[in-house]
Amino acid sequence: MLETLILDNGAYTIKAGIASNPESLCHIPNSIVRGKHDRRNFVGDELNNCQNYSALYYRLPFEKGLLTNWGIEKNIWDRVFSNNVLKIDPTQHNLILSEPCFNLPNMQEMYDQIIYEEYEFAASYRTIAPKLCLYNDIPSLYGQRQAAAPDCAVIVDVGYSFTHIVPFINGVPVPSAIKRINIGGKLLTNQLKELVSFRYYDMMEETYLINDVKEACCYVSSDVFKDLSNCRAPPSKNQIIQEYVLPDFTKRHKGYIIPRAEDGSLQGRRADNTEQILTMNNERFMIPEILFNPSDIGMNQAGIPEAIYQSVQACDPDAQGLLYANVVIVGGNANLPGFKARIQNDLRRFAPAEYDVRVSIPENPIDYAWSGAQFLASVDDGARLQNKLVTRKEYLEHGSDICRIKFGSF
Amino acid sequence: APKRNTRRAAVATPSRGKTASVTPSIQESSSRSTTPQSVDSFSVQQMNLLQVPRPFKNKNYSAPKKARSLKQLLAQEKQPDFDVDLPTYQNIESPPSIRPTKKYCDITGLDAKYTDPKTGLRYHNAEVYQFIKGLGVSSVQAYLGSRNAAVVLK
Repeated sequence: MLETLILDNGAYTIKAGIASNPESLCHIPNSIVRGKHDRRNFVGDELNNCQNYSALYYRLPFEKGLLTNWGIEKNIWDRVFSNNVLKIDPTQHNLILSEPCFNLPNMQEMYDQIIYEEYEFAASYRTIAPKLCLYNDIPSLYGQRQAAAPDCAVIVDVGYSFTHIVPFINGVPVPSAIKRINIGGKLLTNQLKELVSFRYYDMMEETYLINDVKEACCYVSSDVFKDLSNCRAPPSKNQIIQEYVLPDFTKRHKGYIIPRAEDGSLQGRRADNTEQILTMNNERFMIPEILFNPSDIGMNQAGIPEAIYQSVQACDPDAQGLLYANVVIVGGNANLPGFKARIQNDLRRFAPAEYDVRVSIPENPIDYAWSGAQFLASVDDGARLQNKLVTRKEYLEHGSDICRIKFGSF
Repeated sequence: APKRNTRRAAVATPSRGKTASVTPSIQESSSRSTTPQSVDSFSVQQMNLLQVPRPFKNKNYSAPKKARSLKQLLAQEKQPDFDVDLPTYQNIESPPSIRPTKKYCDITGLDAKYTDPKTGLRYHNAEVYQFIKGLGVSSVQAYLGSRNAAVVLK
């Protein structure tokens, strides 16, 4: 029995690990980064060795969420398979790989070519990430104990490049009901960069830093107008305002938020004035608000709750109640505080009154697809996985068509 | 490092054809010698420069595939990669029909077997013809205009 390597190939990070060893899961940034001050290229997880991460130049293999540049991706995969990270020999492994939804057929052929002809994996299974999420124990997210997976579920994948809402009926996605919103973590970071550059300091080149700021400070507000009016209040009454100390890359390499003093007031600048402070006021919640109201930035698309509603409405009416009751949100942006409560409230307003609306977020939304694939590969010693795999022999005989037939395409 | 498939073809011998073997061929030659060792001997080893080992080259090197940008891939998606003549829903074309045109009565819309020689109106039966006989010029032009057959004076 060959080992199975699981690669959740996202546009921001690759979640890679061996199925038989859940601790081997590692997150590798899916980019080659050139440091201006370090003057070298960091491939994948070498970014952790980077000392000075100001003005980093990112080269991403993904363009608009689809993998176009295999030259870069091959370098990153070589690093992942090398001795420094996972230490695997592709010829002795099966591969479970995730691809974006609605991947183009000519790109899927490239995937297959690289997997079977370049790396020569023994067998592989390529599918969309929400399908891998489905193999997890979803009822436990709602506190239920149930032996079988739910018949129907809606997986909302809020990722880096875009957000996909994928309803599943009997474990099969409903292609006509899959909805996409072109908003993801990348757009939120870029928007925060622009906002901060306009209001405070020029951060247009500091993607890594602003990403840290976004992850530290941003949250999803339940009542936007109330929070906006709180922001206008003076700092003593304004509980939202936060001060983020920017790193200066000589003494301090990581920024942090200054906690409030005991009486609740802000610390403000210290006497020696060596620190640069970024004040985060309404940016804290207006940036994630873009996920719910894309029209804030002029995008003619629905927000996440409305898109979930549209997606469920496009499904079989008999299944809609089941779909509303099993909504799972995965992806990096689900880590934002207040996300679940907001989606629950908004979706409750859209959904018909007779249906129950249950929304849940797993404790680790980024790893959920990986752990679903790990479950698939290890349950019954991988018997369920065996009939889904396409072996290298089959590929060499039939070509990419056999992959299209066996994996399906969404 | 993972084992890499060198997809370069096997080293090609020159296609001029006389030396077709894969292994380096040793040929007798009475021409000038090329190696110092064979100064005294009459047989000289001819080298096939394509097969000479090149230790400085990286065996695992494969030339990078050209990376098509997303715009190019989307354009390629729109074009068909099969034969242009293959009928699909987007391109079913047929030559114009050679059947005689079906004529309909200008007044009633039923089948018109007859044509009034004076006005050119097509009619269904004698009853319709009696009606046509009583029409004024402007009405006749109006009926003819409904099938774009009216006389237009420029």
